Amino acid sequence: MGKVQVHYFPMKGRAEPIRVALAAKGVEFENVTVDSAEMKSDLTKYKFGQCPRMVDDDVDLCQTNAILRHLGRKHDMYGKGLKEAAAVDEVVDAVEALKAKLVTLIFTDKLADAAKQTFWDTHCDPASISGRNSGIHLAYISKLAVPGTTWLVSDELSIADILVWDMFDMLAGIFPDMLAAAYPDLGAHHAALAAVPSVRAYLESPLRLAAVVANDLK
Amino acid sequence: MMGKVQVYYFPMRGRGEPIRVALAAKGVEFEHVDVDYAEMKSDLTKYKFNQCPRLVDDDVDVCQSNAVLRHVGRKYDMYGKGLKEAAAVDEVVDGVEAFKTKYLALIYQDELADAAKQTFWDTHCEPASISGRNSGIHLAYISKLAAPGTSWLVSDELSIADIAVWDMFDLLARIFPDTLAAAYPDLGAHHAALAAVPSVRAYLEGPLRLPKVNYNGLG
Repeated sequence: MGKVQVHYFPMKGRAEPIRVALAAKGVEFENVTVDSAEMKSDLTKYKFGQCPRMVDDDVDLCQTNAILRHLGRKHDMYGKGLKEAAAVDEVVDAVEALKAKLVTLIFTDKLADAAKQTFWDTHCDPASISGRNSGIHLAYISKLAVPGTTWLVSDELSIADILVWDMFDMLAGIFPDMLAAAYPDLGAHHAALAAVPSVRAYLESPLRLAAVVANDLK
Repeated sequence: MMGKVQVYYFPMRGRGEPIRVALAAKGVEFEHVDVDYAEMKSDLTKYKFNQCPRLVDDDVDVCQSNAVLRHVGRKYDMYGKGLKEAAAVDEVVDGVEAFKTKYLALIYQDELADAAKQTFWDTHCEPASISGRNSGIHLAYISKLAAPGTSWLVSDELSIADIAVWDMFDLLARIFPDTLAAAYPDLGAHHAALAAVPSVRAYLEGPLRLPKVNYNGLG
């Protein structure tokens, strides 16, 4: 009956949305630094040879978004009803697609200036929303916000909010000036979630690790 | 709206197929609607990512093939029973999606060139290479997600995990007709079992099962 365990590298990376989601709902958890050798060899625990992995009373689970969806179901962060649940899923998948491009920018392109500019032009600049982007663009995500709801797609905080918050957080580290100017709504959303008492407490705690990604690039 | 469920997509299997198979498996009447390409690229209310498939029913108007599949899973009891099975379904669906991106690159970027086919098999399919450098993407990982003792992959009930794996195996079998079944007898048996479910067999033999698989005619 102990704490939930989040097994990952000692950094924010792909585990961060999981941590923020748990913290937002006041679920106690501990960070466990993954044993890389075990991760690459134990297929029972690490079903894809990768992390994050999360263990709680119900599941022993890999794949970031499978974990988030489990938390969404378990802790009422999946909206209310079929329509909101589907809206949550659209956001989760859209953020994942953008994250894949961001991962390439950080790890393959190593944040080179030209690559950063191309990433912004193709996947972030609001004016380029219907360009050749394979359906991957921050403006699509921004427009998924349902009018009249307290949070992105529901009156209740959902894993959609958590993932968008984390994506905005990472992008803000790379495009500090352009991002807030181009997406004031997402900026306001980011501030609002960070101000939720349980989230703020987490962000100020030692569970919020300093490193963003493995190669120390922002 | 009391009519049939509508699946908007190109007139081919592609990313629309798992949705169709799932609906058919549960006896949900649907119609295929050829997407209007100009509308898809301009109407952000209907096509939130300027892409398809898109599904419209009494509850939702939703895009993103896996968001659609998950909606079908929730609505028609194809998400397992309880939290543990639901999480297992998600692991499979995400595993298949990651694998599918490699398959699509093989079809659309590499255009099934022989060397690319071999590399794809060696890296992402050959059971012996499961722990190689594959970014966590390998058919053997997916195969091992099958829970022991359940009627279907992760539950005694048919789920969208079964549908996603069935469709992926179906696509792979067209490209690797001999090696696939030999390397993955369990997945082959699963494929046959699902195809034999009466509602699925009726779909596969009907006009809603389109002949064209991928947009460029390959695969």
